[in-house]
Amino acid sequence: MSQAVCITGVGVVSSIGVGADEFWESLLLGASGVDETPPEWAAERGAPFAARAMDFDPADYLRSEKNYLDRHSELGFAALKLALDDAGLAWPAQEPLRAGIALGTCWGNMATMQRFYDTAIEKGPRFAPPILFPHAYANTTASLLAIEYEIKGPHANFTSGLCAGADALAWAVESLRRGRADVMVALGVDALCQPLVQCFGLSGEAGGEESRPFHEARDGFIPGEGAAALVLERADHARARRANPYAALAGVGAGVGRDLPVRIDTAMRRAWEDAGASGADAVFAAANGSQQLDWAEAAAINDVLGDAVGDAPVTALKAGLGEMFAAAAPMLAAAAALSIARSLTPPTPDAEGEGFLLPLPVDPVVGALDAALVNCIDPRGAAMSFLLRKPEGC
Amino acid sequence: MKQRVVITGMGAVSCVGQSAAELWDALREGRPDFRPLNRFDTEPFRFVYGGQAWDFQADESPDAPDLAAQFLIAACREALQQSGVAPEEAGLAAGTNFGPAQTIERYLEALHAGDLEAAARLAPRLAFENDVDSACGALGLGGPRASLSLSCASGNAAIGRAVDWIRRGDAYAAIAAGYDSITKYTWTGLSSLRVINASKDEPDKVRPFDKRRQGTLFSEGAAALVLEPLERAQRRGAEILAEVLGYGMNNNAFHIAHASKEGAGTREAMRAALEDAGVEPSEVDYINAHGTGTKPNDPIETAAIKALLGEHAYEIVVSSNKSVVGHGMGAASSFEAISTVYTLCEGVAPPTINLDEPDPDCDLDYAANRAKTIDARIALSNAAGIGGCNAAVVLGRYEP
Repeated sequence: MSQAVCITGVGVVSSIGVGADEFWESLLLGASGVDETPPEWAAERGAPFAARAMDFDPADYLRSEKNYLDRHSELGFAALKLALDDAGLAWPAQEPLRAGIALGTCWGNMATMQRFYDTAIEKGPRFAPPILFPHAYANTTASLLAIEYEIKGPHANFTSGLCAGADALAWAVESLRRGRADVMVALGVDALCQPLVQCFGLSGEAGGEESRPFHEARDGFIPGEGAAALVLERADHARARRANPYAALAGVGAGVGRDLPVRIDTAMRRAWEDAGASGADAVFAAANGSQQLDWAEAAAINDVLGDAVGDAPVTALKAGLGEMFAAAAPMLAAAAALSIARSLTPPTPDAEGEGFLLPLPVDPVVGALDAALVNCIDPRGAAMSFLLRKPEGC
Repeated sequence: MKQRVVITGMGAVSCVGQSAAELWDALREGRPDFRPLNRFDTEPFRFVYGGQAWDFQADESPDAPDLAAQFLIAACREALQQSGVAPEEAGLAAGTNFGPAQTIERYLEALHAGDLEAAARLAPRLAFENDVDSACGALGLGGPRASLSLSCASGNAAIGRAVDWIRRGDAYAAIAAGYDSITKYTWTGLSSLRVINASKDEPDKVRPFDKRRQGTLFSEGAAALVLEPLERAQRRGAEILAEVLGYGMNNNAFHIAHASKEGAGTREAMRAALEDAGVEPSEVDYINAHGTGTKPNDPIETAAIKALLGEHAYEIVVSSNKSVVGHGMGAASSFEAISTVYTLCEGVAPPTINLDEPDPDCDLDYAANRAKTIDARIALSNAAGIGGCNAAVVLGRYEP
């Protein structure tokens, strides 16, 4: 019989707050981190708006000075330290082989990659700075975190687009259930930088001022960034050290099928089947303001929840956080874990008025949550869903 | 009761062959094919020898998937066809160092040149996930999908992900693939790492475990394996090639670019894989080594094997495919998984070529220069990469 997986620590670096408490306060207020992008990023058809995590000092989260880090790695260091501190775990772990890390990133260390390659373009490949290349890999951040905290157990790095953080969560859960580790840290990280913000503008994926998740007038996502880390523990390990879990990560569902609505549908159903549940009291939606993604998710939620739509709040937090890519799933899972612990579901920012595909809460919804679904969708086709429950059995 | 996971299809694109069978022929016969690269002007580079997928007909049209994705698609298609699995039932876990490297570098070049039209065409295709999406679209795959990037351990990591899917029942079948391409960007970076063979006299040779080894040679391509539950493969009447018994993935947690001398991370990854497989170290009959031919890797890996297997390490063959197919980066451990499956099926350990003068710190039986007939039931295949990533898989000869 596999053990319950408990969420015992949350670390968040987001455009609306750093640390679990600040993040939570902002969520309840319906705060938005969206702002105009810096003129040099918006120039030449870059995305006009972005939600950036500006309010953190990387030095606060490093054990020693590291002046070579990509911002992506800085975000990861900050989220990991916040989560470990929040969980009250002493690090390095007593048994480093029984602690693991799973990280998801969509864009990796793109800014360092650009620095490295721009030098090669300008001066020739022999002059590209060798120190930068090992810091430009997609797995650099996961590796640096493992080194910093001597995390020697199960180790994975996912690059599955917007579902990369979801894959990290899923793999962390599986590693614990199979007894490969006692503690796993699952993170999602993505950092905005000039070539990316320009990419979203050039590709037409970035939305304008009116773009909101699930709204009929949506025309794209607002690029966001951040990092979220969850400390996951086997129940026996959490109990032995008298940890105080927020929630249990009880079910994981991977979507299958030929089209996106079917894949989202199967992901949600499989998540609650995996948890032995039969429904959800709240849905933390993946909707980001993109035409197809939001439409597909609304269709799947209507199908899966059926008559319960309207009773179970569906909240679209990317309205305030922007599309955070790989950071999204762990960030929304952190929000769901806090919601379960505090019996409050945060509202969707800017959800007043008409024209939404689904009813969205404009104020915090008071009431105990027994089971919350967290959705993660990549418009290219990957869909994952998680069921979080009260930490019984933890 | 653990779900048994079996391999029913394989496919490969490499510098020494355009199919899994051609790859194996070259590996078994010790036939490398390293030449000066010709995809781009190598004049400004310090190193020019490598293993391009010489015979691969790339689609150069503007809407074609990235070159690396084309390798991935070709390998997956071959593997799927051999297996007979219906595409809509198959998932895909793909591991890579650099993803759509050529698309990304062209995008960065376009930005640098201020060519916004070109940049806009490339912008929607920069994510690693785009390669997975290209393959799922081209082949009509309907199962779960994932992209992994654990540097040169990516291929084995993809096998691990797919194994978990099958054991959990997330997928009826899953393709586990590794892939990467040699492009200007990747070559610029790899050239800066100080791991490429720096020999002036023999720039086209990799000499794993040899005293005179001077570095590795990088290559490209893709390799794919179709995994499915044993019962399902039996019910379909599929030909079962081998069994995946387990996997282990970890990090050295030591240094971003170096491993510790005793190879603790490699040892523990192998140990984790054997534990996952329920196999004792003494039961391992063959090891397909990471065996890069760099100064540090080969003695460290040898030490790790000896630490885990004890005296038994001297009773088995440990060989390196990289002397023949080169270091395929994300594809490397996928090439090696295919080789290992053939070893289990045919009872042949492929040779480590160019091993003429043994290094005293590398004192195992590496099947130097000649393939060896062995009776192997259980095999380990190792992979390691920059950042300190390790991934090992345990494969078994299929026995009903």
